[in-house]
Amino acid sequence: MNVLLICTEKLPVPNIRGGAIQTYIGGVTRQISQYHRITIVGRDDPELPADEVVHGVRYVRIPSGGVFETYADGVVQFLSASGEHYDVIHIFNRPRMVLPVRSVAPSSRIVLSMHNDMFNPAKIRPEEAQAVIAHTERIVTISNYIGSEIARYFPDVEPKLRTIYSGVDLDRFAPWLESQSAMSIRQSLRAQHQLDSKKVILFVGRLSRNKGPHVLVRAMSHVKHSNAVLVVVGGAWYSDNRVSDYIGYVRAIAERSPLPVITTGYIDAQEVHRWFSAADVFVCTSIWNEPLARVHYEAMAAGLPFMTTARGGNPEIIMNNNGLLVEDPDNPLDYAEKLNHLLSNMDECRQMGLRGRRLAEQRFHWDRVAQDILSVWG
Amino acid sequence: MDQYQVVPWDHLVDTVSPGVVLEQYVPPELEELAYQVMKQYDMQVSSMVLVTSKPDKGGAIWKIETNKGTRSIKVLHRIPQRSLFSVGAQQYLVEQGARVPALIPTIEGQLYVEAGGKLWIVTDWIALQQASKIDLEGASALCKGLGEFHFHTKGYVPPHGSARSSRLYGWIKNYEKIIAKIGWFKHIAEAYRDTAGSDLLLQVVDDFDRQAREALDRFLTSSYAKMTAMGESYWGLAHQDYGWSNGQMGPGGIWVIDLDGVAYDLPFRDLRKLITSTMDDMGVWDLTWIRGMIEAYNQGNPMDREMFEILWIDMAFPNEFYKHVKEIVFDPVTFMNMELTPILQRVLTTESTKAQALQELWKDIDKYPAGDYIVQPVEMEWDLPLPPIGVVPSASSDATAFAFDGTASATLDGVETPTWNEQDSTSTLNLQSKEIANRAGSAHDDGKEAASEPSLAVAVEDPAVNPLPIEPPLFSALPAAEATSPPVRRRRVPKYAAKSRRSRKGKSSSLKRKSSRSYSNSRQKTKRPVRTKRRQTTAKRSLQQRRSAAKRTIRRTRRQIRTRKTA
Repeated sequence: MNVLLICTEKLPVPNIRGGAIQTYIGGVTRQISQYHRITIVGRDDPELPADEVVHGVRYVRIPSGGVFETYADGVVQFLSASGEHYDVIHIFNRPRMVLPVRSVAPSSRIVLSMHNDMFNPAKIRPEEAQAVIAHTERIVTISNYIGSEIARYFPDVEPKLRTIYSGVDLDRFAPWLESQSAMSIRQSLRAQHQLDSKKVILFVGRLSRNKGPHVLVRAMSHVKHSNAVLVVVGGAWYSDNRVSDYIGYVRAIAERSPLPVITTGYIDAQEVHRWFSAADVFVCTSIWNEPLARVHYEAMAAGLPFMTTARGGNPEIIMNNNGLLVEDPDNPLDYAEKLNHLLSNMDECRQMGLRGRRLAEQRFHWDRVAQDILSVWG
Repeated sequence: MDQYQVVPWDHLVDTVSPGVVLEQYVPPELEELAYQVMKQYDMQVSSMVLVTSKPDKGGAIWKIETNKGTRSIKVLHRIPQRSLFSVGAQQYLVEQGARVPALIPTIEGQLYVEAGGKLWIVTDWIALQQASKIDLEGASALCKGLGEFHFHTKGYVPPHGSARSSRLYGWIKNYEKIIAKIGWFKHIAEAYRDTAGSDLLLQVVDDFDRQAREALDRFLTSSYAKMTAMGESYWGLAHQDYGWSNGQMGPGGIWVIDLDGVAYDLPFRDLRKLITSTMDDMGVWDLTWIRGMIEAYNQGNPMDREMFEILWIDMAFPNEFYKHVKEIVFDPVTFMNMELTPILQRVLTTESTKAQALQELWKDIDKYPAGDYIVQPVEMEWDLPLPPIGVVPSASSDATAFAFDGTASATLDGVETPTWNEQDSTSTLNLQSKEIANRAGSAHDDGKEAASEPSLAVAVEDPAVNPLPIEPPLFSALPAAEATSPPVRRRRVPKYAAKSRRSRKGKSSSLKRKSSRSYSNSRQKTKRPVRTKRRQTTAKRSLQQRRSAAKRTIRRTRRQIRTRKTA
């Protein structure tokens, strides 16, 4: 089949500037391109050509300025001018792209991939959303939570919903207990930051209020393990390192934490796996209703036990005693209690982590994601 | 062409000659670019003086003497899509008869120039004088000018391709964010007990936290939701940076300049900021001043009870405390040792008169009429053929994947290709007009959460009114070489048919593209929410007609903005 993937107007494909959706697309491209002819439409970027073919996949890059309307216009123009018929048009996370695309591709099958809450009435008028659902063959979501949110606004969508969990690169993220390369990365990074004898608690994500790392920093005041260290990996935005007032706040309290808090700033997607190898426990602190952060898959693949919040789709990832759930993510004591427990039992900790690795090997690799997508396309 | 890209130049602070004030300096490349931009205008420039610049942002404004009079030329530091929003607003305001400097068109009829990755505008230079800061008369003039400004922004629709700037739906999130940050102040004070100001801060922070939460609780019982349901154009724009420098006395009254930061909002947020900062400057909450300022604003932009209530709640919120202390996060030790104590003492002195003044002020609410916030039902028309509804295709399909060498593959017997050029008027869907489609605004996505508090208060047309028979899934068997299915026929609506349905303020900015979009062209058929209070005076209407006649002679084309991700 001739298949068109339409990514968002925010970040380019491949994920040279990060982005969960862009990474998702990158993870499945190789596989799906073996079965179908693939064209990927994304936003422009100064470092990427406007039109190129790489490994048989055509990349078309449309100027957007990060503005959806401009991008949508460009996509419609591309479609009308292209003269190609696409059997399936798979749109990522933009319900408002569906009707414009439908107007110039009346007979293509449209699949919509939802990565967060874009069906919220504040983001799309209910009338348009109803029409979007009518014109879409299948709505794929990255967690049951996202699907249930859409169904909450639009019960008719139920039969079209399907959850396809994301994946992770199992080679890049590997447990140091089982992988020689992960082990040597761990040793060198820990030596470099004087972490050799420490129990390293890892946070990876944007430094924003919604992501909640400040609560974890405050929790360190109540952690009873004197050899514990918190490592905070992340800049304010994916490819940006400016200091916002939130970051000022986190650093101000980190400065006075009784236990060390290391802030690394932004670490590139190509390098971040090294911190997963160096750590002992991973903590996701999201306060908002996160769809399902991919860092969970990365932590599991790296054999790390994790703690996550009872928000959004995050709890869905706790499947075989591979992690702990923080019920009250605004409360530092909730984190401290669980951390104290985990760090007192390093063996149990490691077993939990390896259970996560086994789960990742079975279910959370890109091949499985690709197969799921292929089966949706038929 | 390798054009100089306009970027901030505050990093040059150590490289320019000693004594150079960076706000009075622009890099020579920028000045050169300004010359290039000015050539695109029909004017001869005899002198050019830098008025001020923003080295940390990369913006500047010059005063120029030309054979057509005194003008200004300004480079807008924001990204072009964002600047387009404010340039469109300025044009709209001029057309509405507001006292805002007129944009001068280029030789080709453009209202702006894009150069160096930024937008440049040339405007009339109006001789202006600051209103008096020391008496109520001056403050009142400023407030009345603000009201007039807001009034004229109603109905604004931004040009296509601009980044929509809106704070209208974010009031609750904004209050919650400030409450969270007041919590941060407390955490920092607790962690830095060894500093001079921490004790005092800890003594008072709980009180301000309580004030903030009480104000938010009250806000949640206000009419905010039904007010915002009226939509962004209904409310118009807030200036965001209004004060004695951006509102100045000129011919006929207060002129408003520096529109760079305008955004959709409950406009009287500008008024609240002006009032509370004035009280802050004075060190006391003076009821006479507050009443005078509100009354003057009311003359320019009539208020109702609901607006007054929110204005009052916004005043009750401890904005000033927050504004003065928020710097604490960046260098807590220095700030708390050196600056916090006198700041807090001043804030507390001012605050001591606030509660009583507000209590008295509340009684004024009876002076205002109740507003009318009924949203008319939206008529929707659709002209996209509906696909078969309710069919979930099975995973296995009959369709043979066809080859891409242009040859037809095996045909699918008995399967009809859809004929999309038959317009069955009872089973067609139109896209709503751009304004409705854009109603969701510039909501960000990747990770950022949306403002979720308002619900759309529009009547939803039952989509099941014209149900289609359920058909088997249709597969297009057209080989790639053949022409694709014919384009969807679009209904063309005469431009002025919809216009007549609009009440009072419906003109969109003339920067907006006139040609129909490829997928949405029907003009808004919404009945605009009707607000039955002010009508245009005859004098203003004929001024508008005269302005429109003048503008009609100027041809305007909108250039597609090439977008690049800036560094």
